[in-house]
Amino acid sequence: MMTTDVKKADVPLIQMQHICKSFLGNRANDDISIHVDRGEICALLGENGAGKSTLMNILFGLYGQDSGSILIKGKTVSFANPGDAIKEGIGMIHQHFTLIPGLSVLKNLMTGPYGHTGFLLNFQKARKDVRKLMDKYHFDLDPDALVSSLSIGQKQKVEILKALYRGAELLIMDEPTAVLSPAEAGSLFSTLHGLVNDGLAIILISHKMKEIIGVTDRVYVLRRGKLTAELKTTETSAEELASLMIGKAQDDAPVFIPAREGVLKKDAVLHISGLCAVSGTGAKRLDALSLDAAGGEILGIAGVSGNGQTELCDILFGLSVPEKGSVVVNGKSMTFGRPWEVIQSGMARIPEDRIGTGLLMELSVEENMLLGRQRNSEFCSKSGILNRKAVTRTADALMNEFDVYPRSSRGVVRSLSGGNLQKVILARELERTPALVVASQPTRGLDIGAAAFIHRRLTAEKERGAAVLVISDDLDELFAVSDRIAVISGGKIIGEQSRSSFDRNRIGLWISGVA
Amino acid sequence: MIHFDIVKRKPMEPWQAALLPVIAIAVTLLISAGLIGIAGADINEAFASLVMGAFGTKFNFFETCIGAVPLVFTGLSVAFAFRAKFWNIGAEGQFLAGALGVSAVALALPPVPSFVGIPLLIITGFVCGGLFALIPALLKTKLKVDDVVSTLLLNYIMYHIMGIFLFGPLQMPGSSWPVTKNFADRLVFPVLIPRTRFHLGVLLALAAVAVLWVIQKYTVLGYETRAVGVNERVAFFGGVKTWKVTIITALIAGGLAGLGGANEVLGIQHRLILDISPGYGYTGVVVAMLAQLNPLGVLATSFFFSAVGNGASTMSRICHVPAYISGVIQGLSLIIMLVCLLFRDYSIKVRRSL
Repeated sequence: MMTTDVKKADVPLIQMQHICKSFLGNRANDDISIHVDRGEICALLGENGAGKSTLMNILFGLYGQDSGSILIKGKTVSFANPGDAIKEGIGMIHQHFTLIPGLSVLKNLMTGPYGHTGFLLNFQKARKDVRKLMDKYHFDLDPDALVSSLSIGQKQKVEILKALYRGAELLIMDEPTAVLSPAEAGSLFSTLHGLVNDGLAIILISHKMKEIIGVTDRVYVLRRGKLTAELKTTETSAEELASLMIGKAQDDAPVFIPAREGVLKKDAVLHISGLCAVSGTGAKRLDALSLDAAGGEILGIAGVSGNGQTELCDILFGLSVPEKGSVVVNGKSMTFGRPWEVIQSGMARIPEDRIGTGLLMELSVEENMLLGRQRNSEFCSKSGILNRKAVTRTADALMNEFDVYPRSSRGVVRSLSGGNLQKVILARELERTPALVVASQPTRGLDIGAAAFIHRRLTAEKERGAAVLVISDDLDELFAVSDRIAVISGGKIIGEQSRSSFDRNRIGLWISGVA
Repeated sequence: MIHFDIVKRKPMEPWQAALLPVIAIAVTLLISAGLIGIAGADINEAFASLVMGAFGTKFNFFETCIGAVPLVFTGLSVAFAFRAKFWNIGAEGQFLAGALGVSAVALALPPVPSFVGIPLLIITGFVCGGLFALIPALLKTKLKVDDVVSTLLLNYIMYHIMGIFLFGPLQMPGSSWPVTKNFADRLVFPVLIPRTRFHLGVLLALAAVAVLWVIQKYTVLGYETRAVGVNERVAFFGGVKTWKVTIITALIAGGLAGLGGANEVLGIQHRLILDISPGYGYTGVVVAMLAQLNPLGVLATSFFFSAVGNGASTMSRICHVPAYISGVIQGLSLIIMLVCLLFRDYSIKVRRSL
């Protein structure tokens, strides 16, 4: 435990100085310095991959920084794990809660090294302490209720209570409203205001402009691992923040091939109307989403991840069934939840999760390239015997065409690099000369060379006359390849622009939920 | 302080992986030697009598072959099911279902020639085992009931159903024991080598290994079961009707175990008794794991287990080492194999710190 004799009013509660952190040569945090005082809510704003989570994970002891220091009340600290950070008064509320559903609220608070006297659980003392905290901050919770019986908003309050019970003075909230209804979000923010009025500090990770303007005191803007701005909330606007977050098209951005206007066919190849979907917990994920894509165009879907993109793809790919709505591909209405029909319809599918959805990691390259066509007459006799020669021949040809390295069709897919994994999927899906390509996060995590290759192939599909849907949270990518960009937010398309009238700031605002 | 870190290693070459079972068996025999020593026997003599009992005479060798047959069937059953992540712990029950079905048909069958009766009974065994495995498969695909639990519990149910029949309609008239009367001679498996018990079932087992190997390697069904086994979500994404694969897998797996039951009543007992299986279905799980779910491996492992079993009983007669040693060897071999499999994917790094 740290000594408190350096507690001076002019020293910030938390300081992070010149923090650098790289992952495999990728600068996730590049010389970032921030500080937070008691009694204020600071926002950490940035796109996906800007480095917000990395920075906060360092502060919470999940990662060690490469260089730079963390000071609490002016004293340098170092954390080996979150336990150390919690001891120093740092609490983090993740998007995905870390509660045990089958235990009561009280017992959840007592997990870990808390609420014990020696080996024994001290329920009486814990109950008294929790009650005191709840009265102080006006938490309306029943300590004996099972966590599984609580709403999402209540569970989040339990998480906050847990952090407070463990002595948190700084709360890090990671996208706290992503899972909440508007009413629950309002209630959360009044709770947070109560906490800061009492001398706590809060860091809010968010990209929702309304929230940031509405509840925070200061804003740090991160972009591509660097701190690009520090602003007082009262002295800025949603427009300014959006443009700072999105940035200008940068010189150091990956070089993409310029998009050409394709031969636009009149009829929509993909026609989505009124798709509604809810998550397992009953939260609305898609809100009557409608969308058309025509042959000969690349339609980019921009948006911060978690706004319905995953659900949209799962429905298009036949993996899940929506509440309502319809999808028409090539004039044929799709039955949901039947991937084999989707394959028949001529849709190429590049899933976001290559490893968990796209590839059979323990099988060979050729077996992966067969997937989806295993019952086609080309590869399979009527009696169900596989034509292994044809499988190998096709795989060898595709590996050459798509430059999959190493060129071993019998090699296990697991041993390939990320770029080559994506090429295997691309080869398999594009070989069927699809009428429609749906690619979700097609270049996420890939190096520039592989990304450029993927973009070239997608553009080639467009020029051939296919409709190409690219869903990505990398705006630079979408600006580079799209003929049209639609922005998804809160499960619906809230704005759309075509290439001739692209306006970065406008799109940035849409992405931040400002319609 | 010395730390042991378990770290992922780069994939083994195929020949290295194939060596693992050999190493496992060598280590097993080494430890068994120690146990035999503790039991007070001369180790050389004990092993000599073990080998003698398993392979020493033509008769002993064929007995070992015969003893491997039920394990081949249950081992294949489990191996094929596990490939598709259908956790079939129910080969025991499917084995019994096959034995019961075959016995009921054999006793009820009007006098037909062998070339009609025997194929019919073989098919009956396959169908009964398969249908019994259909129950947990449907429970899994339709109601998401855990297959480990349902297959395991159905074993006990089938055992007691068999008891109902053996103390009831199928009981030998005038007997108070749970046995049926002997089947007609033309309905039992013919002995292929005179003065041994080497019967048709051995060839049937070899055929089953070959067929399964072909299914796994050369058919769409084999491909789809592997895909489902590797990652059900990816397989579904790839247009595989995953529930269908699970059900067909269960039918084949159950059918194989059922063939094991048919083999036992038609090849060895020539009637049904309540203790028709000393746990072949459970040993099948061990066999399949030891064989790394490979059909040829199942063949080799079953032969090894049968040899150890037969050899140990000879050893106990000559050297007075308890025959339980065979159970110990079988158990040890699995545990050591599992450790070897750990080393296939991981290596242990020793690290010193202050």
